[in-house]
Amino acid sequence: MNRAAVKFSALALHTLAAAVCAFASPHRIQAALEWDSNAEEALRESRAAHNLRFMLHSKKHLRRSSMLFLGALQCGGQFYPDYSLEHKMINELSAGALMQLSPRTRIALESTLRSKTFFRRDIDYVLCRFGPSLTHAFYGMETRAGIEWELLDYFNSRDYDASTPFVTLALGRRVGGNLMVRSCYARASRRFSRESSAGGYQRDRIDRLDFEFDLLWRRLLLNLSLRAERNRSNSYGYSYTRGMILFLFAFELKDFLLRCYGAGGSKRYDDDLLPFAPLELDSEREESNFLILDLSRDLSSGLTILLRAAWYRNESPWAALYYEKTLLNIGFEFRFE
Amino acid sequence: MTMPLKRRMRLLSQLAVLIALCGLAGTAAAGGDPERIAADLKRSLAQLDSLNRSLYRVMVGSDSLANEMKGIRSDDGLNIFERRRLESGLRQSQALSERQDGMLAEQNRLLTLTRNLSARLDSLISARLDSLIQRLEAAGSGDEKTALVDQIRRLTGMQRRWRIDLRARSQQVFDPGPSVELDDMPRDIEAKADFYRDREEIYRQKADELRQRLDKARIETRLRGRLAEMVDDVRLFDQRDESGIEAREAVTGTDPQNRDYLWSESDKMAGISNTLAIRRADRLLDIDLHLLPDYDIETYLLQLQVELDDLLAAADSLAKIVRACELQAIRLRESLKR
Repeated sequence: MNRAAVKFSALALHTLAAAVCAFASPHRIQAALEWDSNAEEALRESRAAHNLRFMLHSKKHLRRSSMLFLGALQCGGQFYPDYSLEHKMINELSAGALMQLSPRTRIALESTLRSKTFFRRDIDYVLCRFGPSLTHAFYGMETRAGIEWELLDYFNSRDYDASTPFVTLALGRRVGGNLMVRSCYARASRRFSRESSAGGYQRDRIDRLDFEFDLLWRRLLLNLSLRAERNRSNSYGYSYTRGMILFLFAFELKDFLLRCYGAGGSKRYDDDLLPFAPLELDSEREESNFLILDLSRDLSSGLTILLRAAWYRNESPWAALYYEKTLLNIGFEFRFE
Repeated sequence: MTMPLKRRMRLLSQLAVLIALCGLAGTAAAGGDPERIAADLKRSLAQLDSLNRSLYRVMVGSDSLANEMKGIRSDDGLNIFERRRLESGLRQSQALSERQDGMLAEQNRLLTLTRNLSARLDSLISARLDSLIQRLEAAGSGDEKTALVDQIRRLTGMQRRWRIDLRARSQQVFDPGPSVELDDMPRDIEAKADFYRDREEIYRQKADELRQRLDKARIETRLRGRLAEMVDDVRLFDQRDESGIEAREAVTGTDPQNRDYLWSESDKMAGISNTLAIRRADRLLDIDLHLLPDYDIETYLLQLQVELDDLLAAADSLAKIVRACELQAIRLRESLKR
């Protein structure tokens, strides 16, 4: 019955995706050829493979007096000619409604539904996120408070399913002419469907604090975030402390645009004995250390050529063990209304 | 313990689908009947006219009150009656200012509504005309053709009427101020020319500020948009931190000045007073791009461009008036000499 509900959601998502495509505008289509140095995300004896990537991104917003409706669709497919186990499709549908209560206050209700489907592996899942938020401005500062629920359901496994309600509080203020400072605190309580070592079900309490700096100087845009995260689990071996630095920048020089996205940090588990079972089924659900460099050039108003190089050192599904991979990507992007 | 989780999962998935459906329904509701939209547009234009008249009266009242108070304050040593008059004047001035702000906000709301309605009406009529023309090409009988031609004629007439009406309103934007009278002396005309020249200079300065802001905002928007796209791509395909909390969401969109203004677009039809143009430009310059949500930035850039064009057009018109006044003063002086 539950699986039927999940499949119903996935089916509804695909139907809606098609419907949104008919209404939405503008669209962005990307096609790329990629070389992946470690297609299996293996810890050793990595296997390189080529793949073809396709992506469609459509957005729409509609304004009705003080109401705003938002919708977005992002679909992607990745196909490995020599390694069909990694064939996959990802669909993400977002919808939201915002209401301006007063010039200073706004409420929003937003929802995201994401499905990841592997063609020849049994680790398909659906992720749903849903929740209201309230944004208010006072004394030149913006505050945002939100409550959200996130639900993860693997189609063929129960042990990795999780329900995560979380609250967030964010503050933002401009400091000086071009510098914006934001901070965000989030507290989440994740309940897994698997049993804890202490009895009952595993429950993780996560606290996360971010400080973000955003700077524009001439044609350089820089965004830097510092993050501290603490996870307290009632299951032995899962508690950890993490510190991260995330950065983004874009620099425009004549017809070329250089973009960079990266993160680095350390994760330290509290207990000496780490979890024996995998933390996740899908090895791509964790980001730890990475650097992505992207160089693009607009060939015309709608067509762009992209060159992208990425390096990852991510935690594998097994705790505290890291795999490395490099991606080289060349592709085209086409935008149209 | 598993069942409640699954039940919640199912419930929330269905809610998510429901929200998406509502969004789509809202999108689909963008269509409509041209007659109904035309009636709405007519009503909002009538409201706008009435509001403009009231706003004009309030502004005139505010100006005369300011002059009166200036007269009181210029005197040294206020007696008790003058002090009371001054206090009362200040209270009235504050009340008028609040009323004026409220009316300006309402005016902006109506302008947005009018612009949206006129765009919808225009696109609806065009789409309906296209479909009627296609049907006309495929129509067999003469009666059917006649009926279709009648419909086409009615719709084109309606479209033409609205376009003329809206164009006429958009030309009301420029109010040149005091005009040259028949009994003006050359010195009066030159004084008026100086007045226009000063005003032109103010407009050009403000237009320069707007142009600089527009260039900067365009660069920033482009860079931010492209950066966000790259992050979206990476997160869709590669490693994505879905582990619950996404703390990096931007805190955007409720700065009072931003919200007050951008949820209601400016329009060329505002033409009550030229000081309003400067005031609109100032309000646009006060907006902090960092605090705007993505979906409002496009509107903001459009408004900057519209205001810039308006100010430049007004400055050019003033320059023409200055030249005309100068010529008139020279001619009048020569004729007086003769």
